Amino acid sequence: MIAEIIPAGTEAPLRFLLIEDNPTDVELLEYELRRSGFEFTLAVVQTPEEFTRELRTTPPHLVMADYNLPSWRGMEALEIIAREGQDIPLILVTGALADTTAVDCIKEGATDYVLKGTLARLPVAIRRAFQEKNLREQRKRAEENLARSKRALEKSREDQLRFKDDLLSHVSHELRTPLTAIKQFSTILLDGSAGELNHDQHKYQQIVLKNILQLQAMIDDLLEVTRLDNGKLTFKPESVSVPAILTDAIDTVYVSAHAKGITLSCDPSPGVPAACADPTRLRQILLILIDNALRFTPSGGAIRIRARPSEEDFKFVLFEVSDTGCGINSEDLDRVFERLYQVRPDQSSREGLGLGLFICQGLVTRHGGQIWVESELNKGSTFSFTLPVFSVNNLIAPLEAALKSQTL
Amino acid sequence: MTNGKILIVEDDADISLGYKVFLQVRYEVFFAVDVPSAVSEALRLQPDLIILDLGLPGEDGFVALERFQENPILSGLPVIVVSGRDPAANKNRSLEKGAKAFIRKPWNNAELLTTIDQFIGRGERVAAGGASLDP
Repeated sequence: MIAEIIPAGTEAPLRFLLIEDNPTDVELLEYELRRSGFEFTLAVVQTPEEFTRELRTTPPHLVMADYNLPSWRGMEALEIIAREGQDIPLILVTGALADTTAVDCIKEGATDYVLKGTLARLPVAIRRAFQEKNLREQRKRAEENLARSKRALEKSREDQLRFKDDLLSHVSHELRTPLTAIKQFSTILLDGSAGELNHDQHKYQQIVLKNILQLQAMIDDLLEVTRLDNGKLTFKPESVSVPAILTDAIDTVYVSAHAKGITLSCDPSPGVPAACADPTRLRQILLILIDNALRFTPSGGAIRIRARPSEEDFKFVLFEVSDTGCGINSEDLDRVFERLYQVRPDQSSREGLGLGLFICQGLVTRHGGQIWVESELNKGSTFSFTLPVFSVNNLIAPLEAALKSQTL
Repeated sequence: MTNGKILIVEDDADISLGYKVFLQVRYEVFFAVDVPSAVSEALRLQPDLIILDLGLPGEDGFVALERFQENPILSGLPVIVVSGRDPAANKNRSLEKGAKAFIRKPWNNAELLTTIDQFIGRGERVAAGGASLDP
């Protein structure tokens, strides 16, 4: 019975420390405790100094204190216990005590109070004090374990993320070596360095090269996503002329659009301000959006690229890439910016890893802009994004944001 | 009559052959497969330009760049790093260590040729002005 309630990890005899100036009361209390079957030693002190010394030399399992002492009050013992950094239950054992005072004492941290007239209740109070202390310690241990598990879990998650990043960047690098050889020899065959190819051979070799370039783009995307994820994306905003960058993007895709019979038009509004962007990244965003539009637009369709000051916020330039393609159904519409999400047009095989729009979104966000899509089935889609208008403040802001996100 | 000598430091035999077939019509091409052979071949051949891979057996291409810089005969040689490694992490480091350009593998033939021509022209001018280097 007693073994169940003694403080965890302690062995009998229990050490009791009593603050009491009346020898008769000490005797009565000791008698009552022996009668209840406790195995214990009892130290008795009268002054705060004695109490403190006893706490330091032989810390007790339990303190009992008279409420009214000649030079101090029993409740002050609680402050001393706390100051000494100890967690020891304290029971007030006192003559008369008003109910309100008793309640105050409990509020201040006393475990219980027992009137000297009903000392028979003391053993019960002691057992309960120990039970409470054991529960408190159990809870503390459980909380510590929980915090430890949480830390271990976080660390394992970080390790996993780092492993994933390392793996992706390693793989995308290692894949390049064989790809380089394949691409080089495909190019050599195509340019006739190894002898003229007949018409069919040339055509097939072009298919080989086209697929190599696609594979290369996928490997690039893999690495790009790793960079976006771990915040290592290189990003140097500067003042970018919007009409110039749109023209450049159109020039890049002109041949493939023309081959597919798709009209391209570029329409920067007059006086559109310079954007605050990394020109390589802005070009990349536009090309991903235009490439997507080309994939989903049938022959005879049109792609229109527009740019103008944002009507909602004049501090942003609004870019739009609209197509007259198949459109996106509402289910897909919510998910197109997700990583690895792919919408496959009819009769089309895989064209990428499903990372393009995810990368786009990451790039636009890093610039401090927003990206969204509106679409109507069988009519077409419009991808819109905003980028800050160039100003010295905007030049600094994304850098500050990037620094902040790195320190988080 | 070729336009100059190029030393290619590349440990992958297939890629080396790819360089050779593509470049030999314009230049004299030579090969090294690691840092020690790169340094000894560069000293022996005195090429007009070096194409350098970063991932080499033993010491990597950055060590080769250091060896070239340390050597008064080689320090003026234009080096183009052609590597599959991430430019974000390796381009600036290559340029800081003396490379003239960084091209990502798989390279684009037209881009590589333009870059080579740009530096080989410059290399010839340096060689003409640096006659004191000749024994």
